[in-house]
Amino acid sequence: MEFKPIYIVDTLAVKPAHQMAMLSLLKEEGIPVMQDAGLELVGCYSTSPDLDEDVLIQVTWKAPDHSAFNLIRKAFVTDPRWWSYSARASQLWTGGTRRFFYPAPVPTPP
Amino acid sequence: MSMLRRFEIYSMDPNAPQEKVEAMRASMRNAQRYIPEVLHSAVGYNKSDVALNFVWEHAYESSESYKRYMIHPFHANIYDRYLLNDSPERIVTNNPYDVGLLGYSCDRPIYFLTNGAARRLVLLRVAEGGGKFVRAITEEARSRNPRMILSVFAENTFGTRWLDGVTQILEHTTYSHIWEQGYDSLENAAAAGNDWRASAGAAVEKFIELWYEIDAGYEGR
Repeated sequence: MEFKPIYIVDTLAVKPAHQMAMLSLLKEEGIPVMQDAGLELVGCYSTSPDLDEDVLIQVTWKAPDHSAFNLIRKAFVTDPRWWSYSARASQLWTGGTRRFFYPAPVPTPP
Repeated sequence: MSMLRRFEIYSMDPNAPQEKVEAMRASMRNAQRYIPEVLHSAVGYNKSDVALNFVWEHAYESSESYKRYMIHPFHANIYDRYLLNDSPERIVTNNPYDVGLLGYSCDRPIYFLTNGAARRLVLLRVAEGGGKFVRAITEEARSRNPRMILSVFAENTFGTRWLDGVTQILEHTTYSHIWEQGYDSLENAAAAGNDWRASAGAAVEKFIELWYEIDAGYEGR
């Protein structure tokens, strides 16, 4: 399996009441700082807040490979905005994951 | 060829799930199973009063091998999961000591201790130009303590060069020097004390000490 490109899938669980606050924080702080570091935003999706359970917000990033991600990581961890965003986001999420995905040998539509 | 000696030191989130703490511990202790470049990987739980709980100590054969570690998928997939501030699975916390990543260069594994031995780790901020003076104090302290089976005093060159171990990317680091002491037991490491501090005077501006038993993912030398 080839480990490139990388799709980084962040799944953030928040209380329904915090859904819009988390999305605003992502839009205004999290996404800009990660894009400036060099990540490509693939998409951002959310589950419904009306299910009487935590909302899941999924943000998918793309990087060319792990060498590129190493430099991207250096860029965001040395950016004061990332520390500020992380501190605020961690107050909102109740859990979640970050997972790295790689192209699987299954044909996909163009 | 210059080896790189490296420490990661963390305060743990007291609310972290125990299974995640254990998973991180095992992944770091056994790092060489996943990333062959990681040499002499061991972990320990600090027993001093300093509010830093966990130490991961290890080394690399060269800057090139360290660079391979940095871009290894296991690093980003597993270690970052537990450590990075924007990871929902983070189980460490920011700490008031401004301690995280430290290390130095050496020609050979002068730091080596066997599994079950104990490390006393002194992180020091040495006054400008005071390195030689403090080194002499560390050597004198070792000569006075027959239980100190290992003593390495070195400039912390890694704190500002963590990207590749060579290129300086930060201007300053809080602790300018590292003093690794080795003992055959945790009891002896704890009892070693810091009588050396009085001799150092103004040459040491600040310091903290940690001691822990070596839980090694390696055998022999």
